Amino acid sequence: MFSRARRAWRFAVDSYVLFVVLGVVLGAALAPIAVGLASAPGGTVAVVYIDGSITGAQATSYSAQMETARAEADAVVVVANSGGGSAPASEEMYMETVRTAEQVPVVAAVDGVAASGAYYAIAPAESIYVKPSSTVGSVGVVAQAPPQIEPNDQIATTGPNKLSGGDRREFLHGLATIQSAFLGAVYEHRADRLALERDELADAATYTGMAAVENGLADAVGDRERAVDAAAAAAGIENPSVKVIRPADTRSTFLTQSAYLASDAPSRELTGVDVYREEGGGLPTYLMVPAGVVDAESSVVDGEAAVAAVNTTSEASTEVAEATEPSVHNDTRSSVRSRLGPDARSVASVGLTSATNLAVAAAVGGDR
Amino acid sequence: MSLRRGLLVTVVVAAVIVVAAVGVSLGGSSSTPANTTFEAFDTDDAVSEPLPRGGSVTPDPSIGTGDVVLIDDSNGNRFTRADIGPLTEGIGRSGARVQFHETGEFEDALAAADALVVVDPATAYSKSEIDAIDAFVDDGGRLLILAEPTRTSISGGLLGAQLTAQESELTGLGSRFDVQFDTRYVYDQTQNDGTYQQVVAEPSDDGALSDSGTARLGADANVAFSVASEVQSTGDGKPVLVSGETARTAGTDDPRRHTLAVRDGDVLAVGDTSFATAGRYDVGDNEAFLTGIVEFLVGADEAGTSSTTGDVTNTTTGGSNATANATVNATAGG
Repeated sequence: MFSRARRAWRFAVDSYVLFVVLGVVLGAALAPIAVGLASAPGGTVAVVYIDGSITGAQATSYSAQMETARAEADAVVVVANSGGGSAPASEEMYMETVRTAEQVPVVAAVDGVAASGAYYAIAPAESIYVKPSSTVGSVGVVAQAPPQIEPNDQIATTGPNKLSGGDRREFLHGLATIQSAFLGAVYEHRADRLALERDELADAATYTGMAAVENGLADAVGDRERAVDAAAAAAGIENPSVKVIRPADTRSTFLTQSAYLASDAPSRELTGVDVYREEGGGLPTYLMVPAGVVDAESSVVDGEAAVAAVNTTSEASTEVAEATEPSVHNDTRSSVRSRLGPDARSVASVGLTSATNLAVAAAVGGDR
Repeated sequence: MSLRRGLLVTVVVAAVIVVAAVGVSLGGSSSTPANTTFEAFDTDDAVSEPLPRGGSVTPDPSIGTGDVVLIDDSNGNRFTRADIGPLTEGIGRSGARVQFHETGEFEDALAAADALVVVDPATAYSKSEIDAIDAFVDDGGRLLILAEPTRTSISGGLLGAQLTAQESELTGLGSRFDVQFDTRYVYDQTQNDGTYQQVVAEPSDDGALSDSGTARLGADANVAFSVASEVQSTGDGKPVLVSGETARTAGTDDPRRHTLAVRDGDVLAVGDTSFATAGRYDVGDNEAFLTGIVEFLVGADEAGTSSTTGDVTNTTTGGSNATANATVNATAGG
């Protein structure tokens, strides 16, 4: 009996089977330790920025940064400081955030502003941290209606809508469709937390950070550090290393002064609404920008109530157009409307940008 | 024996590498995204569907034969002949005549009319004009008032665009007939034809337009307004059209039904003008509502009429139908 066991042992040793089995068992046991050592000190959280006005170039940059983050990090923090911008570019960034969130936890931190298109971009985040003075919301779309031009003796077309793109009613339904997609996206990701009815959200108001936490547009008051901690926790890692992904050669342009001042972008410029001045083309430019793009200065007619408006002279408009330093030219939709009281009969001037005119029109109910 | 020991070490290392690699590839992140679907972008839900268009203003022929409908154009009334083409065409189809009052004595013009239409006046009616209209209505004349909320017109210029606040100057006229016109617009983020200011109204339970008008509209009618204001009766008037329950007045947070058209006897007031314009008269059930308005103007819900055919004239002197230089080719939809 004893000799038979001795022979079997001898066979195992001579045929190397014992060593192979031992090797596999030991290797499997040591593998998790090896994996842990490979990703020391405990995983990586990437930080990606949304700085300034949203354009196609920024959306492309954002997508590239997110792709890098997905490849190199266990979680992503998106630091937002933007009042939004181009609607299609904002939608592009939203889709990129959705794509990333499918693979790694994404958490957002708002510095000064995450309004309109910028809020769209961070809506899919697992959680959104804001500061008390952050500005969040403005879930809506704004566009200047294309001119209603009819074919005439000078211009021939192959269809009645070739010049205008369609009638005003069709334009408004297009606007409503874009709005509906925006609202749907916010509800898709935050329905379980939103205290706002869909109608209220559609009013496109902006909220302070504290109010946003209360109404569910944000989750908690916190800074970037807290967002990093939350992202790491969501990824199940401790003591993560933080990898900042930010193109060094990008110059961020800002529509709103609040975002400009709060930003730590290495290269930045406050442009105001000039970026959105319609220089040509008959197609509607769909924008996702917040209230606050209207310059205000009042004039009073007939001694009655004042009405809000923009820079009152062409000089003032030129000044804005050429400004490279920060300048104050904000007014809110509510303040515009509140000063246009029921009995107001006033005249005021608006700066020359069509985007500004458009914002004024939307603010005071001139849309029709 | 040393060969075997070396083999053991080699196998252990290989196993560690293989298992670790497999573990990383299974559990780690990947930069290659799967085919992402964007659930929020459901075209079935998101695409805004316009109310259907079609139909025309078709009152019963000859119900207005012999009647004269006076449209005031002397108080800075903001409309063009093309704007109100569908209305004047409908009046013509009823057999009644349309007459525009531009200058001259208002009272004289009214004396020759059976109904008066007031559209979005920029200047307030004087006391004497209101007295004349009051007497006109007391004598059985019909009064239609189409109002607008205060809004801002924008006009361009070399020195910047001009913002001008415009409001319907109807406080005095409305109060004489127990009608209040709100200066703020009504909006509805839910029940609209496009965006929030394109409010869709429905007939009220009171059915106050007229028996035939109410029947024509039906209970489920959708009348599409664009930037409308609320009109309310402070007397015995009854709502004709009301908004949905989700409508709000601009600047308020109180969703409720708003009265957008009200009738008090021979007075009908509507808080919008655009529903009757060439671009919108055939949206939803607007043409049915407009037909009901024509029937109201020619007194179709009362007895009486007579003989001549309908046409359109201008008056430059009180009440005479002399000048016919502004015939409205009310080409619907034009």
